Amino acid sequence: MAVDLYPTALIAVAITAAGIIGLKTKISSSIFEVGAGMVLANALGIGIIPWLDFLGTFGGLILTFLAGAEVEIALLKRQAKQSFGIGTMAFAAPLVGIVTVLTVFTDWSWQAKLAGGLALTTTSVAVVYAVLTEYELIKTPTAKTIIAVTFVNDILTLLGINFIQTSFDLVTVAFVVIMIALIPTVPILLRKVVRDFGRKAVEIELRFVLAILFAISFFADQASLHSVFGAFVLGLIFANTIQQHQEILSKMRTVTFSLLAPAFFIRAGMLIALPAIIANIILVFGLLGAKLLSKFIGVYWLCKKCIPEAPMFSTMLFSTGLTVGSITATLGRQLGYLSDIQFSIIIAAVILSAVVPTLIAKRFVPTNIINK
Amino acid sequence: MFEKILVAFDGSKPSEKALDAAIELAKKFGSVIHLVSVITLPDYAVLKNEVAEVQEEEGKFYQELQNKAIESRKGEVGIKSVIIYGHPTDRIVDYAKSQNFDLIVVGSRGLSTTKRFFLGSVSDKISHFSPCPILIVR
Repeated sequence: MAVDLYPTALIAVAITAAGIIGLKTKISSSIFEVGAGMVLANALGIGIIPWLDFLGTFGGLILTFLAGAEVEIALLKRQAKQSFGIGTMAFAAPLVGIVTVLTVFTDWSWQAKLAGGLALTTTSVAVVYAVLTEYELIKTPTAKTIIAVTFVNDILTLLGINFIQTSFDLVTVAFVVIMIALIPTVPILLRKVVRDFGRKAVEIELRFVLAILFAISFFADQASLHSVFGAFVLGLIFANTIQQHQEILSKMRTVTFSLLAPAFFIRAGMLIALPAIIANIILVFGLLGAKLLSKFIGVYWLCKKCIPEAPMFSTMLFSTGLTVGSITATLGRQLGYLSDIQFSIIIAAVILSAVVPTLIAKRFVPTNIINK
Repeated sequence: MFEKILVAFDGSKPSEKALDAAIELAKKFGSVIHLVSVITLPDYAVLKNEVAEVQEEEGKFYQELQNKAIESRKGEVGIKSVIIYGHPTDRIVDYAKSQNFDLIVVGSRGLSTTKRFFLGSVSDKISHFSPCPILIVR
């Protein structure tokens, strides 16, 4: 089958333009990639071509894997008590809040409500990390607790997507057993691959990671779980080892940020029906408001107790969301839980949740602990 | 009069000129110079590592620029190298407030009216919010 070069060229130009605008404005290019996708689909009538569909799916898997691989297991263990308490509430409260709002104001199916709710429960590790770094808080104990909570929140969201429609069987059990077996095996295997084949032009270590990623994603699918859940758990298993091999992470980032992540976000943008957002703009802002309010109700008092130096700042940071929210919404649409209109509404609310709480959080920076 | 001088530095010609002007002042007043570069982190990043990579790569880049600038003016006055993160105007003003500077010296890029409208001028913005006198060098 010949590749249609007209949409291919337009998409390639859009990816480049989004990257340049991102660099110039110092805003992550993913936001502009979603915007470019919206323009391509809504204004130029470009559809999702097969290679973009594949790269977008690949991008979603690798982004999820990298999100898992970023989790600092040692930090999570050290901060277990506080992070699990706040993280669980940061996950559960918005889930209840969003599902309630959708139940009262829409006639969405319960799977759609759950998928939408899960997409809006997340906390963006990257957004939080950038704010903490910007205000020189990153090395403080406060920041460690906040980061650990965001990890717990994401883990629970990605675990939650398996419960939208449960049909676990023996293959699920086999999947769990194999994942447990991989925990001690992966570090040994990766070290061996790096030692025997590393630093060669053919990049065997990268091929090795990608092969396991696809195999586990496929296995997760067969086990009545979701491929992105498999990718995330694999990332968690790889986390400790791969963080010691920064050269592999660096190569993965190159592949991800040059091609796969743009494909994922452009495709997500192309799936957005702009008229649906305009027609449902009150619901979009209502969902954003519900996320902020339910996160506030769920975690503010806990933050006041556990992070007394920055309760409002922490609460607002826990209300951000972008990558895992977009991945969850995309998965919800792929599985048929969310219609195109519902997906458009949820993804718009997810993107707003990256921006609005961050801007509010910056008004509550705990300047008293900076430079301590 | 000017015990502590902050020089905003991005390696551009105007910022080099700002540093030279600051050195002249420092010689007269026996001041200490803080050479400050700001790394702007991407807002709303996708992955934590995306932010960490910008931090690392731009950190190396600015450190090299600062080292070169300090090395080429070695021995003239005391210059401290500082790298901070965030939006340039906000962070320079915050840093000036937190460290009690007596003067901020910045270079003017001489932007056209159009560019000034769309991009904004860092020196203009700093002059509005600075806690101390500011010298804009052309």
